[in-house]
Amino acid sequence: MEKALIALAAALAVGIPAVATAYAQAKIGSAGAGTVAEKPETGGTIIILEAIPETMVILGFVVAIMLILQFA
Amino acid sequence: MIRKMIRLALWGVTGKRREIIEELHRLGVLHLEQGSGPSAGESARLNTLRLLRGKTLGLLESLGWDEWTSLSEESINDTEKLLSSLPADELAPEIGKSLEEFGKRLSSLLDERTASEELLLRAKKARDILDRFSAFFRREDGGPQGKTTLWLISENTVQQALAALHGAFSSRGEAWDGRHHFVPGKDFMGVLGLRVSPELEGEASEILSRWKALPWSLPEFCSGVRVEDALAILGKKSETLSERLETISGDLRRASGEWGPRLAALFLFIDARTEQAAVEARLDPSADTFTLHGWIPEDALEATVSALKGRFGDDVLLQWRHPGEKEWSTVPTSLNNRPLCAPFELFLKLLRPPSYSGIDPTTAVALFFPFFSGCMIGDMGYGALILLLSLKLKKAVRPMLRDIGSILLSVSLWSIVWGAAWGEFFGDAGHRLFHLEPLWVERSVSVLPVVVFTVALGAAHVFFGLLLGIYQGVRNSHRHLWMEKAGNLAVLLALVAGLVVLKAEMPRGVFTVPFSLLVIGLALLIAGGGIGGIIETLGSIGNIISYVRIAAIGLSSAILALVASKFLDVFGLSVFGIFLALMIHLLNFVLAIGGSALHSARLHYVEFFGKFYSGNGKEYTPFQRRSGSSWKKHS
Repeated sequence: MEKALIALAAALAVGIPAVATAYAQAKIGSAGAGTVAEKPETGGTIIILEAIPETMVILGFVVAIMLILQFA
Repeated sequence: MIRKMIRLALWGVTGKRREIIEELHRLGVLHLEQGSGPSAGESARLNTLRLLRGKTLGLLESLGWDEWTSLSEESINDTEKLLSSLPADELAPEIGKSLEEFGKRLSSLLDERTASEELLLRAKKARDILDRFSAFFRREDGGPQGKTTLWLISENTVQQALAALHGAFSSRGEAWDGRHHFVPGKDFMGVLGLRVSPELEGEASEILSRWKALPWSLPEFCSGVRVEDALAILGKKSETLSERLETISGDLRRASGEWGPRLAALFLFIDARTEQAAVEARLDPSADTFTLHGWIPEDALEATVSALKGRFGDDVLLQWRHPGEKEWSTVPTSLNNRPLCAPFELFLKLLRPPSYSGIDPTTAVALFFPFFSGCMIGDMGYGALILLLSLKLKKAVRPMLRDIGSILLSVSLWSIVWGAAWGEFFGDAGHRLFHLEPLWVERSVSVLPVVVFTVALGAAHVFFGLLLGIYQGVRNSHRHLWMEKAGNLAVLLALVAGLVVLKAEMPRGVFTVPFSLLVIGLALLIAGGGIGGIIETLGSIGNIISYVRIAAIGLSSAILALVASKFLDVFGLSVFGIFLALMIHLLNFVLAIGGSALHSARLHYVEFFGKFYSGNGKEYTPFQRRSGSSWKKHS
């Protein structure tokens, strides 16, 4: 039971930021696609903006790893 | 690295201006600085050339030719040699006349194609409709005499119209046996076929018109033909039109293959002349001499000066000097890297170029990008496949694809090295088949060492970026910049040192070192960037943790590869099992290439470049012939 709770906590630690990242990337992606269509030279900046929210899920991954290694 | 630039000024005799400008254009190294606007007299020549350029481009588009990469230098040079032999005054009219003649021939072919396509479409539509009435026609041919007419009518009113016809005829005691057939179509409209005796035809038309029905007619080439007999004629006509269209398409393909490269070479020649005329138009034709100035790479100076002096002697005067510190913001940036690193300049093309006084990060990208990507992929099997792909791409015609091939080659080598470290060959297939063991750790099992390693890697990368930032600040005498970067670095080092002291359980006295570093760092941060500097340091900690993505993506790739092997365990060595395993490996391979490239690029753009890169440079655009399809961007 305890292991299951730890696994659930780790899954939530990755899952919730993943949903948040997906939401942010969807918003940035749709706006970015419009921007690139208007100004192709902004492609590099858009890739950078698109990649920024990913940090959330990476931090979630670190938390999940810590949870598993500490308590499992 | 960023090439050193020289400010070059050229004075020339006005009578020789056209030849001098042509020579500069041929040499293709001078980044010209814009002068005043065009004078009225010279604009006429410029406008004629622009018109010719537009016409040539229009003809190329009409021909559907777009193989700029296959255009050989030889054909471009031949065209240039041939046209340059014409007297300058005759050049534009001669080209204009030739283009007009070719345009007329091409237009007649294109017009015929358009007309034939339209006719074919009409014939096809008519056949589609008549096909659906063929049973009705066969049935009525055996019945009483009469004429068949077709009407376009709304589905909502067709029954009422038929009732009106029936009512009108039966009230007068005339017989109408209601011979009709309705075919529904799109948007609630359909076609009504009606068979009536010749006496009732006029009245039937009148009634149907009242119900907003429109008579449906055959295409012009079937005029005078009964609708019942039109199907065969339409079939024959469609065949003839299709054959004619094929002949026209063949003619156009041949014309495109034969004339496309010639027109493209002509376009590049006119484009070059237009560019030269635009520069010439800015000069004052009434003065005895003219001046041009711009920037030239130092390594091209000697060859340029000797070429100009050798051809024009005393008719040109050249002077040059290094740019002053105040001019650095106006100097264009030209990158010149070793062949091994040059393909990685591709990453800077997505950003504005670095400033002339800035740092070219290409060499650093060439070192770190394949290392990070290879660490994420970390599979000898995938690495070998990427190696094959890169060798194929390196033979491509397009320079960009060749660059991607070179980048993938480095990535593949690092993937193989990391594959050996993790002991992966198509997941655990290497272990199962040849008892392959990891040289370091099995990353799908021992996650923590990999996570720690990637954080350490991130710290090293970010520290290197900060060091470059300090160097740039000191070199450009930006006190605030180097102080902020140095403070940032000192605080991060203090944190790392503190962690080391804590983990290694060193004596408390040793804490003085990280504490001193922290105090110095904070002082530098506040002096350099104020409160914003402290916030940037917090961002830098996030940046370092962000490198954990290398471990995370690597882990997901390793586990996906294990899943592929599991399919073989579950389904055995069956066709289905092998197929599923291959599909998973294919998916993993695509994800490995795409994901590793994207995330490595992000680590460079956001985490690394953010520490020193200032993309506020001016692109070096030498005055030269535009190659390939680069004209598309500018014209």
